[in-house]
Amino acid sequence: MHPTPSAPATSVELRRATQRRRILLIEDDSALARNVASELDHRGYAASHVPDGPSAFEAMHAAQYDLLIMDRMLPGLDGIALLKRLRAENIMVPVLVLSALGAVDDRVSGLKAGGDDYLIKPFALDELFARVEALLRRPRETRETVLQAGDLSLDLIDRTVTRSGRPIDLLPREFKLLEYLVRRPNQVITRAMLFEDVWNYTFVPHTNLVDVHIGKLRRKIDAPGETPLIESVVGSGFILRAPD
Amino acid sequence: MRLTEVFATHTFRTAAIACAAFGATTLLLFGFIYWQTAWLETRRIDVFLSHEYLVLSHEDPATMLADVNTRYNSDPHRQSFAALFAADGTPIAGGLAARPAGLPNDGAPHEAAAERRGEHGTTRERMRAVAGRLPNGQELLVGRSEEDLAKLRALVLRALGLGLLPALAASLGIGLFASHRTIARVREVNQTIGSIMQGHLYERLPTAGTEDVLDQLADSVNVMLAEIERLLAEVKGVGDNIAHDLRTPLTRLRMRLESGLTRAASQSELNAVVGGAIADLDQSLAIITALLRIGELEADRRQAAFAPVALGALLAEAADLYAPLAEQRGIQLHLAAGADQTVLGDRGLLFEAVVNLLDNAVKFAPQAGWVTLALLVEAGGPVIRVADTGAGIAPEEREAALKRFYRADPSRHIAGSGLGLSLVAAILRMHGFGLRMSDGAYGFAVDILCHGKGDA
Repeated sequence: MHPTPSAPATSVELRRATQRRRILLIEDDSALARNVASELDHRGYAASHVPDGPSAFEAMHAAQYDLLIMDRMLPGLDGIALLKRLRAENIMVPVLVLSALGAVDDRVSGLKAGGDDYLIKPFALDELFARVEALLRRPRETRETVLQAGDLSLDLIDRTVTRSGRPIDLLPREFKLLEYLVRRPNQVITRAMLFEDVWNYTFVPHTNLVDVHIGKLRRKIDAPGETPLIESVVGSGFILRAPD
Repeated sequence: MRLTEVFATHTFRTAAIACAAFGATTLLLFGFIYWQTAWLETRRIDVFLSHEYLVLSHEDPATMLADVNTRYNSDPHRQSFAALFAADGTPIAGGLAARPAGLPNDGAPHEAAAERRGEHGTTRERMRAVAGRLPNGQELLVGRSEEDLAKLRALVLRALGLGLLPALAASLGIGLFASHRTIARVREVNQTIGSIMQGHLYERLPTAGTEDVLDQLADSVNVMLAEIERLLAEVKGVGDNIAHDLRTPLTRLRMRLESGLTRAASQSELNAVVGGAIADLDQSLAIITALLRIGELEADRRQAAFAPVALGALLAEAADLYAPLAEQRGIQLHLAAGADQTVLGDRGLLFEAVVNLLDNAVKFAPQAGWVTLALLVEAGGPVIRVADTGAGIAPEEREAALKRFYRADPSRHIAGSGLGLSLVAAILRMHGFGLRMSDGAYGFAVDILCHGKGDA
């Protein structure tokens, strides 16, 4: 069940292959699993897939993974039980739970069992990639009280923002939104992620609320002539560009 | 209807047990009355006989003989009698053919049986008698027939026969009739249930109009049936609506893909087709998601997770969320939350309900119009008002507006699955809150009545 990637031919490819982050996909629908795995491969991850809980355990003991993507309802051992067993064995790999169960309670129970994120089927591939990347990177949890993104700086104590020394007056909600983005620079953040993480809502409003909020934030942080900090990514969401 | 079936019913058994208890009690009572009366009568006779014996035995022999012959034999009722026997037992005077065998001659009253001479020969009678030997060796006997006791016994038995047996028969009969009726009704109910199980959900269990336990049971079941029928109709309605509302985007999707397949000349044209197809699919999925959510809310009426919710803070948060959107559309968003009010509920769901109403209001308010989000206090409790200066919903369309998928006509061109109000209604039903729509100086308002009286 462990498809070996084709042997790397050159040293460059070899280096890339060793750097590729390994993702284990646990999904019993083989057509969906093949599609998702091949899309992940295409995006530069090394994805393998297994159909059920027991074979997931085997795979986990045979190799190291950077991320697990698991279906909530699996034959044999269901996703939640598998997750609890992993956490009980102190395997702390980040886990993204996929589920056809969309109820708030299902989501809560999935996250309580040790899931790091919860994505409801059907999902857009861009949403999946954004969340995979977010889980692999983990946000900047620094002890610094001032966050920097290029020429923008956020003072977490005073709740003040400056860009190139110019003070920017933000409403509390705008500060919260900006802080979330600055902690995750150069990373695609989807509207749903913002809605879930910044506003703590699990439902998605019909209107383009998030875009309007981002629009207001942009107008405040980008002075005329300055490089826009927040870019839109068509079909996905937003990305805050900042030199590493 | 077989008789064994009748005997097996609870009603009949109860009747039979009651009959048996009634019969036993009556028998006991009659027996006691008879026993007491007989005992008293015997005592009375005994006292009388002892006295007579004493008087007679002290008379001189000639008077005694005369008295025995005249007085005691002249009793027209042949109740009392006397007899005199020689020392060898030969009758000397009186009405007895022979001395009663086994009667002790101790001057005390005893039970005896003797042959008595009468106009139609001798008859054997039971009697109470006192016998004693006189100083001259003769034996004197005074007695009294027990005919009175026999009459009393006959009377009691006749009363039993005339009273108890018909009463028992009548109650058993009533029991049989009631059981028969019960069985008939249960049978009718069973037939109805069979018919309901075959899908005739509109049928109701028959009631006799007597308000008895069977009627009460049937009434409860009927209420349950009505609720099931309503839910099924709703599910069917939802199913029809899903089919209807999905048909449009799916048809569009199919046409788009078909024409893309046959006509797209370049990769970019094909890309556009696929992009449009994905948008169509997303719309269909959004409809399904919203419906599942409503279904989930309606199935799950848990209130255990309810906690106090500060409505003022909740409205402020909702206003904060929608402020930029309202500003972008040139709509004034007013928040009038005044003094905070607290209700018991699920904060997340209540927020979702308010946001849905607010979303609609901001969507429907015209350019330069305004939207009001207010917390009012009415006699019954707090009221959340979401008002806008948009077209609103016509009074006759308001109830239908709550139904899933319904969209008031002027808004058909505005994007949205049209499920917002239904979702709000489902959330409010779960909380036992009401919904009210009204027009006023504030424009068209949808009020969430946090105290249960309303149309939702």
